[in-house]
Amino acid sequence: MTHPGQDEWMDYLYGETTADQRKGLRSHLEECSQCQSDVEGWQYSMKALDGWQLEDKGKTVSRIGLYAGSMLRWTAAAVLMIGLGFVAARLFAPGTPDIEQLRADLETSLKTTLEPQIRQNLVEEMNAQWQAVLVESYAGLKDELNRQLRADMNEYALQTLGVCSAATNRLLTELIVAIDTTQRQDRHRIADVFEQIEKNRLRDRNVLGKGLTTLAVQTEEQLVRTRNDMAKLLSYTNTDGSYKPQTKE
Amino acid sequence: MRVSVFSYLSDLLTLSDEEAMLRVQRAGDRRAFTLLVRRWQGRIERLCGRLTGDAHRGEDLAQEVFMRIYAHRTDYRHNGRFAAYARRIALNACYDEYRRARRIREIPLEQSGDREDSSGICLKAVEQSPDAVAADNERDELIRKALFSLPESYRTVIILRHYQRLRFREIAEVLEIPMGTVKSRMAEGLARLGRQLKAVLNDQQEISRGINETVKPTGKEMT
Repeated sequence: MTHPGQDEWMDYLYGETTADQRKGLRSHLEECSQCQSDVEGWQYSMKALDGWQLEDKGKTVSRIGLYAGSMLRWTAAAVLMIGLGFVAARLFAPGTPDIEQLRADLETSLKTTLEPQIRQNLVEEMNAQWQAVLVESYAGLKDELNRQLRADMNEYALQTLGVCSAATNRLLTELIVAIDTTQRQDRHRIADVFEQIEKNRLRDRNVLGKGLTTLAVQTEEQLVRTRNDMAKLLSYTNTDGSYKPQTKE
Repeated sequence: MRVSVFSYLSDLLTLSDEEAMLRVQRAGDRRAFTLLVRRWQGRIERLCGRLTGDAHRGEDLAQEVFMRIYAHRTDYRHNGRFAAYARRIALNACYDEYRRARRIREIPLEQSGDREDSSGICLKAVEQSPDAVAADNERDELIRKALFSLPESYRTVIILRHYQRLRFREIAEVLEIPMGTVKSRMAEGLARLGRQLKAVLNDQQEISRGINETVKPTGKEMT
């Protein structure tokens, strides 16, 4: 059997459940002795807490009641004074009172006594309200101004950033083109130089070849002459290496 | 400054606590502050009275609370409820009172025989007449002592829910803790309070029964 948690029981005990939740918890209590024991323990404490009186009951009077009582007394006193004034006027008035005169007198009296008071209260009220409105309006205007300024600054920054990006892109493109052109020219020059070097190499090889051929031919001739000279020389010497005189014929 | 009844009633009906506090914060509006004091004085006095266990001390602390509300009016956050803000300040004022009472003993313990509770407040002894025991006062005192023997976190939640009748969601807002934590502290606090009270009240009943049995006259003794 799954048991409701402590938080659910607290809601139940302090009336913070819905009707359906309350019904479900109550039916669980009827079936589960463990939860029943827990709830009874909590209810015991709640009842004990109800028993702690902070102040004497006789002195426990709500402040609203006190104020209401005070207001009631002042209202009753005002009504009494007005009534007494009316009765006194009726009693001591000579003859039948002139209603129109009485009304005019009452109006004059009210105007002279109440009007300054009412006017002063109204002025104070209006001042207070205007001040509050002005303070709020000032705060509101300041916030609005700050917000507008931030929005304008953001807009300007975005536009500036956009323009700068476009200019940067254009310059980069031009630079890339220039570098590409320069590289292409360099490659052409290098190719020309290699071509020239190749031509020189070939020319030098030809010259060298011719020279070597000439040298080889001359060397051959020289070698033949040298051999002949050697043979001749040999014919002039004995086997022991002594000179063989040549006989005249 | 004279306050007209008309304008007072008008403000009473139209100005919310948050709007009044906003006026106090922005313009130092004393009329708006007076309105807040009139609306909240009773509740704050009762809250401080419960938190300290002393109605008179609660009244003094309530004055301190409103002084703090006015002095630190710039700290009020517009998106919060004034009710939670005022109660939070009251709780802090009572906590400061606990700490102060720990440092300065009002009555020396060895002279009064009073037992100091976990909050550090020196509890007043119940004066009993030599002839009769006021059962209600004694039980009242036992409940108060048992409540004040609980840890501060549990006691605060119990006072806010049971005596101030705040909903659990509102308590969570005042204490700035999760609602689940509020409910678990409430459950544990009530359980501990119940166990403690049962033990104390059972002991008292045992003592009372023992006294009655000792003094009860028998038929033999009378003759």
